[in-house]
Amino acid sequence: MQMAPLLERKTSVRPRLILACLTVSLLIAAIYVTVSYRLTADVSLETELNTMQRVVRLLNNELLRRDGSFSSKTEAFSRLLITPEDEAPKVFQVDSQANQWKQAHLLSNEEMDRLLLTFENERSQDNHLITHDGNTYLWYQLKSDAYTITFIQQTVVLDTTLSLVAKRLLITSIIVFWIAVWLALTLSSLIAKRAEEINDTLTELATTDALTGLPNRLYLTDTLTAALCTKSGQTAVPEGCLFAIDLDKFKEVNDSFGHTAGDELLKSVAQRISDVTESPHEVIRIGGDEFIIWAPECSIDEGKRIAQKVVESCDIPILINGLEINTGASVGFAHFPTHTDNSETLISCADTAMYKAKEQRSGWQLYDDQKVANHKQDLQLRAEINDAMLNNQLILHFQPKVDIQTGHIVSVEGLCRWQHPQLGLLMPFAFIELIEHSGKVQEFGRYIIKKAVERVALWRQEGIFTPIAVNLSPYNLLDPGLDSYIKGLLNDYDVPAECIELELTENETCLNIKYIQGALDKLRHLGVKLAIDDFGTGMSSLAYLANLQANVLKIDRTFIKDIETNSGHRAIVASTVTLAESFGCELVAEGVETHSQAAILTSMGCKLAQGYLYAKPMSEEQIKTLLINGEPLGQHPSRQAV
Amino acid sequence: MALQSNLNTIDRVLRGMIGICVTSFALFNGDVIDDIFIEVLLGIFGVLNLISLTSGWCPVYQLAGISTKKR
Repeated sequence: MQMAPLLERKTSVRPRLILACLTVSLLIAAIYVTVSYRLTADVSLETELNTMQRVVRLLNNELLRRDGSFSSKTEAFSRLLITPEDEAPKVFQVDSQANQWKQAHLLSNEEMDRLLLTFENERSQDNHLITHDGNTYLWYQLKSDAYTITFIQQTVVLDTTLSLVAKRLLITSIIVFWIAVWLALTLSSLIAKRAEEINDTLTELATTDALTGLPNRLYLTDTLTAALCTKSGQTAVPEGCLFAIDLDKFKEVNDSFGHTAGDELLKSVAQRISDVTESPHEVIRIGGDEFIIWAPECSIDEGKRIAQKVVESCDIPILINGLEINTGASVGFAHFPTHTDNSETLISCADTAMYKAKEQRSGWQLYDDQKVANHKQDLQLRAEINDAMLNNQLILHFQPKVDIQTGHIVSVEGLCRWQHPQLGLLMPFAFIELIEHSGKVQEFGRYIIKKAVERVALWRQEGIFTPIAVNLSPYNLLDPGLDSYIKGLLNDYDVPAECIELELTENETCLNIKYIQGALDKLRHLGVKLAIDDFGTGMSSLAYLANLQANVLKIDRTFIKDIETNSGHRAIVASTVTLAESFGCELVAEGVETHSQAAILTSMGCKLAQGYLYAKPMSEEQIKTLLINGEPLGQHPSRQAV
Repeated sequence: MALQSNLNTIDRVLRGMIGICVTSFALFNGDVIDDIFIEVLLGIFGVLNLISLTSGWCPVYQLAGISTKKR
């Protein structure tokens, strides 16, 4: 199991536990050694004093019995009180009113006198200990009516006992401490091991996909972050490929056979992908039917081989519920650092390639290098769209629609351009898609309409009454306030509704006619002209045409381009002319570039055209010059000469 | 419980030295300890360490499930 950097581990628990165990054991050892030692000392002292007390009483009784004749019995007393084997130096002193008798053992007379002097000076009633010449002595004194008996003895026995006890206590303490060390080690490692296990389990739970047992998205993020992080100018991995794998028919399997079957399928696929993946390459399930292979130190050529292997392994049918199911997979991959050096972008590059592979049904795709630059620019533009609208950087260029016969401009189509401060004039293909995916499409639609209305109003003041057409995405029709917005604009600028024409760009993103029907009706009621752009391609159907009740049909340039040579396209144009007549709408031919095309169109009955033959899209100044001059456009040179 | 070696060389040598010292102290201390109970205790600890020296195995490590041996 690899470490998940996100889940930080507490590794300090072990040393702390050991430290705690050792401290406690030391403390306990210290306490019990001290208590035992003091107890022994007290008990020994007490015993010794008792013994001395008995000896003194014995002496007192003897003296009383013999009635003061002790001086003559010195020898006998000495034998009675002191044995030669006795190691402890001691002194006896007996005082009566008349006599004094002293006897010392292992001490000279001089030493004895000094000891007695010290005793007189130092004795206290609290304890029976005095210190003399660096040695400790115990004393006991009995005062009866006749005698005062003093017995002083060096604490040799007590010292011996205590040293013996101390020695044993010390050794026992070492042993106990030793046991405590073992205990600390065992306990701490048991606890640390348990904590480690819990950590591992948590890490595994957090970084593993429960169904397939493969690592999950969190793990991928961590791994990629670790692999692509830069340390002193070098990344941890010099190169690598990231594969995005998506099953082509997973949804169908889930829908037809149920989720259990879907899960089975995922498990089998995960197994297969894992089988064709060699260490250190890793398979990760990031959700649904999406898998990722992260292949560090893998070149693009090797990546192609791996992608092919994955596609092939997923192409073999899988047996589920007794049925052989063939769910192909689409694989896209991106190479680090060729395509990007950022982990998130790497994933999105691989995804983009995968979607391309899915679209083209090509099995696998390498991320297109060409798009890298575009992608960076896209990101920049996406961020700047708002400002562009606020600062009026989005402007309209105009292309005239011309009456083929006379060459006069009947209306103009406003085409959006982005006057970018750094990148210059941008064509719509560079940013329209961005706008459609940025959630600002409705705002953008309103912006364009407003620009067109402004131009119409301005031109009218200058004596130009040409209507302006603008393109609208079907998404704009989902804008619930669009009709009232246009109405407001027309009122504010005092522009007749028929001067504005809305061209519906209908492509494959075209929404269901039911949804936009209501919006179209409202717009038509305003009096705004509606046109179907690029008619004949995309999703346009005849039902669409019938429901839309458009004022203008703009037949797509693909039919015009080769109208001279392609009889099929000629037939389509001819029938569209008829169709337009039947529906009572104008027909405009787009992309007319040659006189012969114009001639054919005229012969078919198409009256209006737009294209390079007449004029390219141009700036407002230029179109205004054209409009004011009123010269016929695209006239045949022979005719112009006339 | 198989006697699987769980001590690294330093650990083993250190225990060996402690084991020899403690065992010989327990056996030949003369009158220093004077207590058979403590002598036996010391003997047990010494012998345990000597076992660790010869086999490279420590029962406490085994119980705790730890090992200082590099794998």
